[in-house]
Amino acid sequence: MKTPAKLPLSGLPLTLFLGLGGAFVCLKVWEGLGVMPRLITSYADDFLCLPLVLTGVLLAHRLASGGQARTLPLSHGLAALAAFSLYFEGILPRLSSRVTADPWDVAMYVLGFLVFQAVINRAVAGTSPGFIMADDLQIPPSAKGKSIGHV
Amino acid sequence: MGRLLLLWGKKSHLKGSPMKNVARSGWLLTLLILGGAMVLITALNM
Repeated sequence: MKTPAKLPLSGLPLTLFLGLGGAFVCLKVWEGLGVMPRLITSYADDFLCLPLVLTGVLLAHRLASGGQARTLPLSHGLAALAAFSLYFEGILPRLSSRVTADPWDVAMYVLGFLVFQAVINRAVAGTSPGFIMADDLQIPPSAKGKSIGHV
Repeated sequence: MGRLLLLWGKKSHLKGSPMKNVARSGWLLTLLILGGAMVLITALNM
């Protein structure tokens, strides 16, 4: 009998992801209706942005590698944090008058990244990491600088 | 598509071009999604 395939996200990470996604949709609706002050929605957008985008990246990695135990390397998350901060707070405000730079937005990005890293970026229990990617390969210090033969 | 990217990179183990090594490590997948999200957010804000 075939065992049912595990979802790429489950438990607390799935609950939090759905909660954040739901909150984002509600904020956009309230913003459209003019119920919620723009100040709150703009900071909330920045807070929700990285957990939602990085979860998308994590899901893509899990679907691509076929392993639900896979987690997104810290370097990928930090690169996303740097890219979003530089682009939306450094570059875009210079190109468009509709966008303003605000250091508190960067703080919201950092907060969102920490939530993703602490809660969502966890392996699904009892699953395999899938096939090995280059980032998983650890070269022992004793082997560094040594030839591995002709390839 | 992501799986194809990774497999394409994996086939070039130790002898591939820098682009294939980026695909193999998963960075290409990450960069594609991040870039797509940034373009989408920019378009929504304009």
